[in-house]
Amino acid sequence: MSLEQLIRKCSNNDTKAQSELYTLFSSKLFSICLKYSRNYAEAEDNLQDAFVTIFNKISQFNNKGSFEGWLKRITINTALQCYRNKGVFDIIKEDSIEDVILDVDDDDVTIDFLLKIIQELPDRYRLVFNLYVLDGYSHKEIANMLNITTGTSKSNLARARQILKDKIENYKLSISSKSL
Amino acid sequence: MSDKKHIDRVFQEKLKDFEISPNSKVWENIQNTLDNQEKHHKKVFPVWLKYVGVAAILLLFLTIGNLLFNSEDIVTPIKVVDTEKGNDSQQSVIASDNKSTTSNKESINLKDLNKSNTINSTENLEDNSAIVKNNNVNHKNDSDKLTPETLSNKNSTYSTSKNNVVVISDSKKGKSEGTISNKSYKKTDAIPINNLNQNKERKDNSQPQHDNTKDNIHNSSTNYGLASKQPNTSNQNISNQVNGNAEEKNTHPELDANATLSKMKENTGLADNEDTTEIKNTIEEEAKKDSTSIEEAIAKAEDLIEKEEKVNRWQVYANIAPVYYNTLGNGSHIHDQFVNNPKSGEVNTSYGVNVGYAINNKLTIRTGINSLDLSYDTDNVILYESVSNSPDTNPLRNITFAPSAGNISVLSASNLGVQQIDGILGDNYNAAISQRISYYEVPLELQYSIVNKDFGVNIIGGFSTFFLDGNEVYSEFDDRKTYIGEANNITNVSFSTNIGLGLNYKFTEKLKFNLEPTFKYQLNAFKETSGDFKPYIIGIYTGFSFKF
Repeated sequence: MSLEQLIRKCSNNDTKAQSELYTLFSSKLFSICLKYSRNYAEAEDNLQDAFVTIFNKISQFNNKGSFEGWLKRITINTALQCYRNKGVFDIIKEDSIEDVILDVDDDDVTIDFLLKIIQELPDRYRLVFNLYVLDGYSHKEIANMLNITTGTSKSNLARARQILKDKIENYKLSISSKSL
Repeated sequence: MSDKKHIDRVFQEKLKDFEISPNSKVWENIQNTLDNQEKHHKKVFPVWLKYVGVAAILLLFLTIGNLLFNSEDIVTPIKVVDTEKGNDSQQSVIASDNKSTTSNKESINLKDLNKSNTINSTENLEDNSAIVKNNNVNHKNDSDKLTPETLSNKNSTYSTSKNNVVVISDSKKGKSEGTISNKSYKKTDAIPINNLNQNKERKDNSQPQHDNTKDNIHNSSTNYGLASKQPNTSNQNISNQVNGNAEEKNTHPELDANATLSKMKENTGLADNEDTTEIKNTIEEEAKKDSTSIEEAIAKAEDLIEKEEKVNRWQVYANIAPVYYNTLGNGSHIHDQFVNNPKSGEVNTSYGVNVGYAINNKLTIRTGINSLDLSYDTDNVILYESVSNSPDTNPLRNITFAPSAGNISVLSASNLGVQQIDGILGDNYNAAISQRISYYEVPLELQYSIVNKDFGVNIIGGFSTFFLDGNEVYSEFDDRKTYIGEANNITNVSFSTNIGLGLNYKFTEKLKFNLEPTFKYQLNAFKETSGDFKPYIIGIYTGFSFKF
């Protein structure tokens, strides 16, 4: 069955087709949820909400553009939604960030560790970092999506990078100290 | 030490192909949420949507109705003109009555209208011929003749009788009389007919004319005998009811007409004086009669106008209905094996717009278009994915399976013995096959009203043509449905016979609320069915109708 057929059946609320679509995309979308959430449970909730939205709105997908991109946008939006509602985006006047060296050594750094430190980031840093670095949104887009200024977005990103870098360095230090 | 990378690249590279399967409980949650939503949707969302639709349709037709109504406003003056014409014609009819009666002012006892009419008409003919003769002979005769005529004109406010006078006066020298009569005509004509007070005025108007006529009579000296025939005949008529003296006096000069002019003058003068008084009386009486007859005429005319205005023959109905679909027989439209399975109709909705045309007060013919969703479940079915890949076995004769449905096999659980069920019983026992049909329905119905007051009762009968729009078969199990194909035995165009009871409540003359429980028996909805499958639809059509 082609993706188009699958989409059409899903828009007809065909349970079987919905199940198939879920099998195809749930892993990819779940990874997004994990990056944007504080923890695994929250990621599951977000994934669930995202799929419900997807199935409700799938009839509105007009086959223009990438279906996967559409799914990702919905998932990211779902993840952002809960923070929008919680109002975590205080408008903070950040000082201009001085240029710092942000290069790290990624040896022995696992995906799990990276995911963990992303999830540990404060909400606003995590979201901006994910959107900018991992999902390729511009500061302007981020500013629109999160209803913040581009300046806030930039400074949040810088803070996120700094925190992540410190964590990776600390992690590496702890490993090397263990190995010693 | 390995190379250092920018922190962004570290994350991008490591997380690029990161995928992780979520816990299976997530899918279950999604499924449950969707199911709940669907139930919610089923019950609330479409109804809400359809109400909006109905409201929109209603609004649309109100605006259309308003447009038509407004254009009717433009048309009504024309109508009024028409009715006035009608009035005129009616008046002319009455006038002809009056002409005959008034020209024979005498026979004021109009109780036997027909009699007097026939008599009078003959008399009129005589009068006219006499007039023509007299005209040919003598101008003065005209004036003599005009006197009764003009008198009659005073009584009759109507154009026809006056026109006679005008014609006469014009054709002859009697311009003065003509103008007088014309004046009176104009005056009386200018008077609105439906005003009683103005009748009095008319009487007043008639007064100076009396003088004229008197003068005319006095002026007439020669050949009075010829002319006297007419006043005499008229006076005879008058005498029937009013005065014997006048009759004697009139008949007397008639006999001695040629003998003594002076006597005649005196007599006529006397007679005229008496006559005029009598005539005055008769005029008054007639005026009364006229006024009553005018009122009657007006009443009639108004009735006519009202009738014409009341003819709001067109009516628009917007309706929405819960419809219940089921069958009378015990058969199955799917397959022989399901004949004995329990089946259940479902309540769905139908909505649409109808237009009605009132043939008369009682009978309305109407048609329109309705959208109609139906669903019908065959319960107690076992559905399973068959392991054996045998494509030739299509388990359901009347269903064309969708390719996506795979190798579904279907069994009727009702046909299995208890032991077999125990053996076979899998998870899918007690599934249902749900047939969903949507139609566009074009009804053609007659509505006969039994009670037509604020609260009305109608009987509705007719037939509907159904155009197939949607045809889907789902398997339903635990509120989860899967599209398995479509029925191949539903006819694209089918018919039903309809009978219903219409109840309505008039908010205004134009706006009605309708409630119509209707039973529709489908005639050829399915081509091949098993057993005794006779589908029917019961709908309670609710909505508003707007007359224009």
